[in-house]
Amino acid sequence: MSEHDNVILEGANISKSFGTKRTRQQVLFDVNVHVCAGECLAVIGESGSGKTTLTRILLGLETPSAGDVLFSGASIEGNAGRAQLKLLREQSGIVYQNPFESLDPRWTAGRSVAEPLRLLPKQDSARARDDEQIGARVADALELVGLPPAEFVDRYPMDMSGGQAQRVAIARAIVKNPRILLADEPMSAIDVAARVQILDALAASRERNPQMAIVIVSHDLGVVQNIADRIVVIHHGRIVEQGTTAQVLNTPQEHYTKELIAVASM
Amino acid sequence: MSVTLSNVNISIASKPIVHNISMEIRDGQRVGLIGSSGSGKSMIARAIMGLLPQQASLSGTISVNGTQVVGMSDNELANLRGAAMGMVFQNPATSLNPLLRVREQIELPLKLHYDLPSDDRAARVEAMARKVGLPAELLGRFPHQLSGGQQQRVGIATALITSPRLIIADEPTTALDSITQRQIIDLLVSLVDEAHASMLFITHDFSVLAHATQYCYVLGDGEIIERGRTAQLLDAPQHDYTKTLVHAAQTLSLHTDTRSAAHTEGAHNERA
Repeated sequence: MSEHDNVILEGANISKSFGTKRTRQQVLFDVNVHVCAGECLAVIGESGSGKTTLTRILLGLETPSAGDVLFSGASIEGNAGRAQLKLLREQSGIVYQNPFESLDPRWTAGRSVAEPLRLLPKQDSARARDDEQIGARVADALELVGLPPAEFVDRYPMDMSGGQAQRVAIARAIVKNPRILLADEPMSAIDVAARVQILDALAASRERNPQMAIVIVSHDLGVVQNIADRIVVIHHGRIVEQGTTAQVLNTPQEHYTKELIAVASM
Repeated sequence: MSVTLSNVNISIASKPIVHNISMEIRDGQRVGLIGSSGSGKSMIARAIMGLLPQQASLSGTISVNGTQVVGMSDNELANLRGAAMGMVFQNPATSLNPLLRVREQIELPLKLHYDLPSDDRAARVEAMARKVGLPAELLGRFPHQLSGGQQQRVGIATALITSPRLIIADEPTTALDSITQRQIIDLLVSLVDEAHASMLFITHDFSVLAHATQYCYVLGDGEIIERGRTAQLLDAPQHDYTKTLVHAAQTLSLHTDTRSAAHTEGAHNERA
């Protein structure tokens, strides 16, 4: 398949269990998933379906019980994959569900957004050379997500609304121009009115960095419809349906997908 | 049961939270209160329940079935709550007592407010659990052993066990996934209607209000900026802030070719 030439991240035959021998619970069963450069993949499913575990495995934050994760065609698992895992971490950004838990409450927006730039290894081409350059990149990222830098760079999370804080978290995730952006339920904790601004911020980030792949986890099809190119539906740890956004939303095959579509209408 | 708020002001540590609010919830009516986080929605609910934080100051009139609530003693308020009002909270994981089994949790309001023999209480708890769709085997479990949707069903059963005439639901579905959200809203609406009770439903999402309420108030910066029938506000919002909320709900609602077919099928399955 030609689209596979462009695959940036791939999970092959991923299974995952938690617990000890006696309390073992399997949450993912032989899942195959990939995302291409420039593509936005939505992983949808209800609470407890395994979607967050899957995306954590894809970003190397969790080890699969079986299966392999490939970043740019090379495995990130085990000792042999260490260098590739490090590369994946350097080239990915994450936006979590609740910005007030993911942003350090003692840091200003400017400091939080600058942090990924300061953590890049010295030889990385994306690394900013001095404070002035870092300041310019931070201001640019804040501007991109719709937060005027002059107003927000010195603000603390407690002085922001949920939507503003989440846009700071997006700025932090995209400031180093990552190749992969994972957004795990980025709108669940945010007011509906502010969700539109989060969508706009994600769209602006894509426009700026068209090769960036986005993986968005959501149970909200209204959100997914506005941003995703392709959808993977997870139910009880298995992929039950996948296809382009139009395919899955217009001609859903599985009962579970149909049910999700029914409740997402106004 | 009817509730009337007239010129209600609430401030916390001398910071004004809501200003000059007047609202009415008529007998048997489902009323929505919509606004962004921090607009003061929850404080209005707490004021009606007499559950404002200690440092809050309240002025104006809140009349519950003709009885003025503002200025009541804690004991009088507790009796009124037990007999007449029930509240469903946003996050069932934190609103349920983690040390009580489901059965004890649902039974507690009966124990506190009514003098009933334990057999009678047990029978009522089991009947209420059936009503909210909780299987009998879950009654012996603790909250952490339940899913979010099951926990919220326990929250609803606890709020309804004393057959209150007013239910206040403060963002009861925000912490749940979309299918569970719809199930919980449908459950609340059917139980409230069946009991001919009144409901105040608080949310930030117009698409939720469309399903749950007949009438609604829009709260912006601590003031009521628009009111009307929910369907009418959705069709023709007047105030800029209401327009933003309606626009957001429309942008984020799904538009597909199969929507109506899928919806019909979903409704059919529910009835089955």
